[in-house]
Formats: sequence, structure tokens, C-alpha cells
Amino acid sequence: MNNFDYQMFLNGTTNDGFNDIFLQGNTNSNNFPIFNNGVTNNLNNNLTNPNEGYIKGNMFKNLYLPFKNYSPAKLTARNAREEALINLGQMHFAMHEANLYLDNFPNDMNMINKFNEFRNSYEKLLNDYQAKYGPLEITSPYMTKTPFAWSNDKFPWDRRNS
Amino acid sequence: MWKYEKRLQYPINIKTKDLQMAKFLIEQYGGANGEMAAALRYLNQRYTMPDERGKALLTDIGTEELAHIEMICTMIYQLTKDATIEELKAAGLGGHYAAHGKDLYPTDANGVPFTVTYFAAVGDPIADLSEDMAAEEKARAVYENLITMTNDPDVIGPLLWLRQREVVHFNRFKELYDYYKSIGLK
Repeated sequence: MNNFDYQMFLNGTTNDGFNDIFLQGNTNSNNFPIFNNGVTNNLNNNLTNPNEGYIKGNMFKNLYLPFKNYSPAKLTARNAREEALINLGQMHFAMHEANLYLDNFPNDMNMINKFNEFRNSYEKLLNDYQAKYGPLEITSPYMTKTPFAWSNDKFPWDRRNS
Repeated sequence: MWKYEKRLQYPINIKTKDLQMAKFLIEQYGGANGEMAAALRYLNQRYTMPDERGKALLTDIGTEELAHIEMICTMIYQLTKDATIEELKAAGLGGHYAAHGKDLYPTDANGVPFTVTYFAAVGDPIADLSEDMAAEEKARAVYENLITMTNDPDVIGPLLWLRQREVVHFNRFKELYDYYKSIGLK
């Protein structure tokens, strides 16, 4: 993934703080775990970064299956809030992809490390978003004022123009 | 127990009304291979998976399918929100309007209501997982049909993304299926 020429799709974003995670991703690529079902994994070089993975809907290079000549959509944020939401969404997606993989391959320590890297980044992005723009989860610590913020902000299907 | 996150799994921002496409997209809401069938299939089958690994995978993919229901519904909602009654009638959604107004309702593209007979559970994890793999492939095929029926990039983008999720889920189910075979399940 070092040589992946991935596109900065967020206008004006030069360093969103998680690119560096992926540049160190290949350091233990010769340490292939063997799972207790006998399947050897070759996924150490196979995991893409959250940015590319989110755009494609697939974090795993070996599983990616394009359709005809269609390219994945470019995600363009129209404002800072949308940018924050996309950043958070892609990190949660990366975590979720590692989660599904680990359900099947629970002994892959490299992937567990990845899962926790993604999770840590997600928690930070979630906290920053909720502090600034309002709750995404009912457990948000930023719902201390009136009106009650959970029901005062638009639901996702109505966020078309916000 | 579930926790709702007040965001879409992938962004949707459809700017152009398209009632015909909305009618077709309903297929992936309440159709035989749609997201509702997927969510209920996995969340129903998970209880009797033979180990925690299977219970985890069906719970986690089933939960993701709930987020896909929300994405499909958001697309249908945004495509139809500003429609007039005349426009709905012209697009073949007059029957839908008569029964449901502008509410969403899980049917297939022809207006046939959702039914649980779209999915099975036969008390055999190998058979159930085979169904799950087939369901993901069929949903992928339906997404491909839908992608080729529109030119709107705001619609194509999320459909390509959802299609790719079917690809990933198929592979995860197959890994679990192969694992169960390897440990001697039928």
C-alpha cells in the first residue's frame, strides 16, 4: 500500500492524521499467521487504507471485484461537517471490515492490531465530531443543554443539503 | 441489544428526483434478495450457529444489513420526496401512493409486499451458509441490474458500494463455510 497512489478526495485536506498508520503497515508482512483451520493468510499486504477502502466499499485488495468499467464514486465533502463525517465513516468502515475478517480468523494478531489502530482513530474522530456538530450516538457526552440535542438535529436521510 | 448511529454507513446525497428509479430500487428494500431479507435471514439464523465464530459473523453481517436497509430507504426517500401525485402515477407508483401515501413500504419492484418466505432456516449450518452465500451473489446481481438502469452518478455511487459489500460478505460466508467443512461438519 506504500505505492498505492491514492487520491485525496477531500477538498483542502492535506493531513487528516491517519495516513501515517498505513505507511507502517507492511513492517511485519513476513509473519504470516496460520489459522487453526489450516488456511494460510496472505493479508498482510492485502489490506488497503481506510480512504481507498471506504471509496471502494472493500478494504481487502484480494476480494475487490469491480463491475464492468464503473469506477467507485469520488466522495466530495461540501463543508467541514461533511468532511468530518466522511473521515469518521471511513475509519468506522475500516474497523468493521477488520471485525468481519477477525470473526473468521480470530488468531490473526496483525489484524487485531489493525482493528485497534482503526478503533482508536475512530474514537477520536467520533469524539471530535460529537463535540463540534452534535450527537451521532445516544451515549454522546455533549447533550447537556436544551433542547435535547439527539432529537434536535436532522436525521441522516434529511442531511442532503447540510 | 442494538445501538443506533445517527449517520449512514456511506454518504447519500441524491439531488435529482427520479421516480422510475425509485420504483426499481424498492426491489432492494423489500424484494426477495433485498436488504431486509438479508438482515432478517442472518439475524434469524445466528442463534443456532455451531460456535461463537459463526454467531459473531452472522450477527455482524446481519447488523450491517440493517444499515444497508437505511441506505436503500434513504435513496428511495430522496428520489421521491418532491414528487407530485401526477408524477407518481406516471411512474407506476399510483398504487403505492393509494395504499401508503409517500411512506416507504417494503415491497419488490412490482409492488409485491415483503414476505419472510424469501429466506430459509433449515437447522443445518452448512445448508444455511450455502443459502447465505447464494443470497449475497443474487443481491450482487440485482445491484448490477440496477446500476445499468440509471445514469445518475448520485445513485450509481451508493449502488456500486452496496454491490461491493455483497462481494465481501459472500467471501466471509464462504470462509466460514469452508472452515465448518474442514472441522467435519456435514
